[in-house]
Amino acid sequence: MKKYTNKIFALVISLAVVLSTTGCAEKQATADKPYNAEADINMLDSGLVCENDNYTLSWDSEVNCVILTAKSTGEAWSSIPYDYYSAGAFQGKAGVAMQSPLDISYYTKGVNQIKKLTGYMGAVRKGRVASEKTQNGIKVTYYFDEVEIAVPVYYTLNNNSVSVSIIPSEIEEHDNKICEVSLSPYFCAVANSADNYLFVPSGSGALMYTDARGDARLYEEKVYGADLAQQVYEKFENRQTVRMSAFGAAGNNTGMLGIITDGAESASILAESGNEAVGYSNVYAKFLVRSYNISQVEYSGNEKVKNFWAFADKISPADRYTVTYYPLGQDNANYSSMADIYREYLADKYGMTEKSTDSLLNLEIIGGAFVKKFMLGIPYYSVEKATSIKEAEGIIKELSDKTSSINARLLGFGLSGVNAGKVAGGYKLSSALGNKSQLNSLNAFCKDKGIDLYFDYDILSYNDSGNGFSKNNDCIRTVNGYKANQNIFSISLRNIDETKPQYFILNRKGVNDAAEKLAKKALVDSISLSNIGSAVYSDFSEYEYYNCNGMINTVVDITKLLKENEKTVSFDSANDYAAAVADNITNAPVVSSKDNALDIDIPFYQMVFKGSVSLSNTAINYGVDKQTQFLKAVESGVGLTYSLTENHNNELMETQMSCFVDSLYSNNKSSIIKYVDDYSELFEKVKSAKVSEHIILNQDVRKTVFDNGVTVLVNYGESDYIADGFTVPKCSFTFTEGR
Amino acid sequence: MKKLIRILAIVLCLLTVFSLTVSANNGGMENVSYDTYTYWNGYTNKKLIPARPMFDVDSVWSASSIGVEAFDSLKDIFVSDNGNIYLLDSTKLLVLDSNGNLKQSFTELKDSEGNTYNFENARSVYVSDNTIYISDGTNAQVLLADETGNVFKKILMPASTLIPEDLMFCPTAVTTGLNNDIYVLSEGCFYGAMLFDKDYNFKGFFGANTVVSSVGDFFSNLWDNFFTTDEQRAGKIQKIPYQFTDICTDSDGFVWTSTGVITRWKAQQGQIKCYSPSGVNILKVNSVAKNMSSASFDFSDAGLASDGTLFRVQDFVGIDIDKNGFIYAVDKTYGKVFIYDSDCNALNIFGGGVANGVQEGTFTSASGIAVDDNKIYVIDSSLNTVTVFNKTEYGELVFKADNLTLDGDHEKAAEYWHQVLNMDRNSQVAYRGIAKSLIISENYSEALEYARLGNDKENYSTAFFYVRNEWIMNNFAWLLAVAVAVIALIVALGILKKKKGKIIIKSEGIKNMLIASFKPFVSANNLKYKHQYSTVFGIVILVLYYFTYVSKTLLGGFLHTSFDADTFNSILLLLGSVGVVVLWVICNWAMCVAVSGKSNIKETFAVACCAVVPQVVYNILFIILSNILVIDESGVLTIIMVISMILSFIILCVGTMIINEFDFFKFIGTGIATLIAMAVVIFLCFMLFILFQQVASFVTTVFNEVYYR
Repeated sequence: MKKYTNKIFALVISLAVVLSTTGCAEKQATADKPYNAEADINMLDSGLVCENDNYTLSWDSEVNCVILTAKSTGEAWSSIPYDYYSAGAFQGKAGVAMQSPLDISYYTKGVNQIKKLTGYMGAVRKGRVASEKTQNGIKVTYYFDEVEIAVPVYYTLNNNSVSVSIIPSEIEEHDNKICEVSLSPYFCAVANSADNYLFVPSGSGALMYTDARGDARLYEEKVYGADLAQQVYEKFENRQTVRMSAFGAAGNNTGMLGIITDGAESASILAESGNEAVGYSNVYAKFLVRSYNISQVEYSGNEKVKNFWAFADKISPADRYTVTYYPLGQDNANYSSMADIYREYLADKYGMTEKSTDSLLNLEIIGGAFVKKFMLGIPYYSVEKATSIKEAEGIIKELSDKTSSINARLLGFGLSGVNAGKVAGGYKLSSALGNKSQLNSLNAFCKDKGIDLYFDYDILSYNDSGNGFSKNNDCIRTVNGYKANQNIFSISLRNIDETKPQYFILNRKGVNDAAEKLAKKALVDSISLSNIGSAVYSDFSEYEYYNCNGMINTVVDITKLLKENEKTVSFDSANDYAAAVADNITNAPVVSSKDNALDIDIPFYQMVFKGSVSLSNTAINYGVDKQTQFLKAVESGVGLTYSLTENHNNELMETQMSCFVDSLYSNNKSSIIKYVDDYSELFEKVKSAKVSEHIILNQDVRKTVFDNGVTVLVNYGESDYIADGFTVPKCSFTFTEGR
Repeated sequence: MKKLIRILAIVLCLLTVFSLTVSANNGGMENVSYDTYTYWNGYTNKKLIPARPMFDVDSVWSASSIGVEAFDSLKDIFVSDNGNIYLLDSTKLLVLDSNGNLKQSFTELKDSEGNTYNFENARSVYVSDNTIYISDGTNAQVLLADETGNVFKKILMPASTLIPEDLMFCPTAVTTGLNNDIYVLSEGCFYGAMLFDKDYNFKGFFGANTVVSSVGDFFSNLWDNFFTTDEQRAGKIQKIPYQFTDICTDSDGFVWTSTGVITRWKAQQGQIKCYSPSGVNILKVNSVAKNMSSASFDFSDAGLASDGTLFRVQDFVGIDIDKNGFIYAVDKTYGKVFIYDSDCNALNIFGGGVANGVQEGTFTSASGIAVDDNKIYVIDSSLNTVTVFNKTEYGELVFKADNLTLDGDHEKAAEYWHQVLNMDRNSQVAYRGIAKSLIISENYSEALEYARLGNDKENYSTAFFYVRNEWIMNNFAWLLAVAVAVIALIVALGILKKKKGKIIIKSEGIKNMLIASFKPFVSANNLKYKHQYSTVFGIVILVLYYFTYVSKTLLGGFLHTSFDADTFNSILLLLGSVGVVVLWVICNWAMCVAVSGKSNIKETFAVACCAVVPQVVYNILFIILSNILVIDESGVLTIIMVISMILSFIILCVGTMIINEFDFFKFIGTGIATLIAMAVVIFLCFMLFILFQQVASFVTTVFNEVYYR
């Protein structure tokens, strides 16, 4: 007995030692940097910091401002709006705002609250700013003594831009823990005026005019959408996700384009226009350096809910967070040039192709939905047919007689239809919708006709175990360590719809495995990936994936893997990085979130990707007004999209999915044929062209100039537009082949 | 052990089936920042179904877009007959055209004596016959001014014995109706609108919400009357009617009212009413039932959502009626606009924001609504904006079609309804409208299809009647032949059986249990004294009972069942069928034994199962007949049900008496005792369930507290 006791005791001790050393190792490797209150404050003198062939970068230690000057023209831009900076009158609210080169937010342990502190109030005003030269720029460290946080900021001169970065691991902190950092809030700013505007990438893109009218207008949106590892209890709004990591300001022959070049997954874009007290409107990026989550805990009996704040134990694992600012001068201070620069950036970074051709007609054919059925009173779920493979073939065949330029995507043909079920729909075709030989026959027909046929797989959301993926072990976790359940929200009360089942998000390793399996098991060679290219998420079970870190790499790697396996990849509502590596993009956004702060929508997304990646907009039959949706496609020269089903019944209706409201092929056939006829002549001329210029002629009329010289005028208004010898009929378009 | 493993395996399989879950990748109208939906009637609860928007945001007006100084707080909006839009702010009154261009602006009104009236306390604006009515809230007056802003009349608190002494006059809304009567809503007035004639004489109170009392209230009042003192009664919270939040008149001069939050704890009802000149609510709901009073109808979204401390309840703060009688109401809590037709069919519900709206078409504090021919104007008193919604092509079609349907021109309406369906396959009113028109054009078979798709039992029943009769007429000859053949076959089999002595059922126990429905005494005696019963067969009967009970809903005719996959619960059905029988058996056996009954539990079970046989037969007949009979013939089903119930009771009564050797009165006594025992058991189970739930909830709370801290 004693022998056994000793053995057990020894085993327990050994285990404890092994476990504790493992824990220590991890802790040590990722420990946050302690705040050094005794750090020396060395200040670099004002003057030139560095230069290259195009620009000089200078530093003004008086007001902590970096100045970028173009050597050829002498134009200058600075982290404080240059005209304000050169006037030198730093007074009032404007003075305080302008002299804040960064703002932070932090929390104190035990206090359920996040507090904000501006750089001016926390560090600059007290002279707690240190600066030193680096290889191509300057490092400025801001010491917030009051809260014991220090943030070093790097300004680096590039060939035609300047980068502003923070390195999370270099941030020093003590009891107060840093949460967010807003970088250079006024680097991208213009004076308040009706002629100046801010560009924000909400949905397709939007402009905020900067005239002062009423209160300041505020905009804030997380880049690439909310972190799916955050718990959400109510969803009050339908928002268009920010799909591009760029923002800008332009007007009065000057402007600035900001691109979040590192850590966009953790960033938000904020803008403020028309603030009379400041006199300038600005747009900037804010980075989440430590994740937090607000959990609601319901107490029994009294229907009360209490909010609990949970903060990540460690700071972001990201290497750095960077915003790169591209100065715009008198020749290119407009959003068309911003799109050009952004396109070039994506081409450089992700190898986005230079040329692609769109399809005139893009069909999204919905297979079915998972619905609850009963067998002798026992419930089970099965796919309710909306369109079978045979019917899909019928639709494609019929429409291919009208145009040969077709791209088709089979959506919801897996084992759980359009709903989340097994990962990638079980990699199988639902038997309720057809069999493999029917799919092969359809595929062969499409190949013969030159039609791209994509089969959609969801390798991100799932709610059933299978194919090596467990719904308990392979899903992402929240900051609290809980499974990050995804909920469906009631369309009326906007709270969690308890009657609709939850689903989960596959963790990063799982997603990679799922993609590997997909490369081998895909039913056709053209793969459409829904969700994965349009979502970002953390996984708080692995430090590497805190703060959505590495999401871009995950998606890029998956795409590379599939392409190496000779697959063609299409992304649905793709974020910029996914769009840049894709062969095809579906459901490109055509509107912004339509915030009250936003003045006018622009097709910035289409301006960037059209001509580089095969592109199609959101379905015409999903628009409130089909004609408007059609004109949106015409405006940017992209193909027409329809989301179709062959059948409709009450079971599909009761799924409460709006995709079944107006998807019936028989109802849409005439409008498809009409729009194809109306558009085919123009489309033939612009199908491979890039947008070189986009101009807002008035509230209703837009002018788009393509790089091959074709000019399109689109009139959304209720009256004809007549100018320069052109007449654009109401709710219609016209085009010419010259500018 | 093997059995145990098998049972476990079955349970696990069942659990897998039950726990299978789905999640939707919800699509949506892509250009809209809020959801648009409608209600489908005919289910257990009204069902929310996504719909194509009938209105879309056209523009958002603010002080800067109108070109005036910033608003302080927008109070009300009104569209006059000539299309002018009156916008009331606490600092000014603006007159705009339909495009939001400023036509006229008042910062104050003046009377002939030079007195000025600002809008600081003004609550609403109303215009009729070139007269502007301003409800001047806490100044206790309604100002009547001409179009130039000259106040020519003030309606003050009338001196009348009809008015309670403690009533304050605080006008919040005004409208005029038939005979130019003026209706004034006053804050804190629970007696309805204050009615003035065209000469501004007070005529009395008009219309009022009523207090709905429950049985609990009755007993509470009874208790109070007998056992509480006057002081205690005075100290109790009194239930008083809810006051109207808005008032308007339609083109026929009828007065419409909206009522806001009625209760925070349960679903509300009667938020919208239409009053006849005599002050009676004449608004009837024909969507969920025929001629139901709107006082019993919930116009808001079903269900309640908590904001953490209180339930977030929809609050109708504004109402307007267009010239075709369509009803528009705005809810402040969620920022939603509801559109109903005069039959109270929900046509479209849209908007949102839930007090945080920063997007087009969403609101922070929606506080007023006005409509004209093609537009809806909603004011937000917090954002100080007017959101203008424009009718979409789809909306135009729905209004046209619904108007024609309500006017009885079903054939013409069908043309539009088809166009509506082409744009929105989820439109219940379209299916119903088409079904109605097809019935009128005597195309019954097609009408059946549309009525079924539209979950429209009334039209389905009418169409089915003709289709069924026609089918019977066309197939009468062979139906008769088949019937004769079946009867002949049965007779022949009977004769053959008698002659040859063939035995179909060998088990005496099964035979005896089956004859109970025909010979209850013989069967019960055989059961007791010859032990002719089969427990296994009893179980088979119960299984059959459950499956036929479930199949009644799943396979029963469309006209006589209302299946809703969302609310269908097979576990509850199991408890309600087999569970009741099993509970009866246990309780009855226990009660009978307690009073020296001679039965054992097997016999009690067998008797109960015999009594279930008529229910099984009824269920099967229901499944067959409900697919044949129309709604008007549902009496047949009721008769069969009553017969089966009586039969079951007789079998139970006779069986229990004989197996326990009871007389009738003893059976009644033990029967009542059994029912009480069943109630007690159910109560105890319920209590245990609640206790378990509370323990689980407590453990979860403790766990959460520890975990989150």
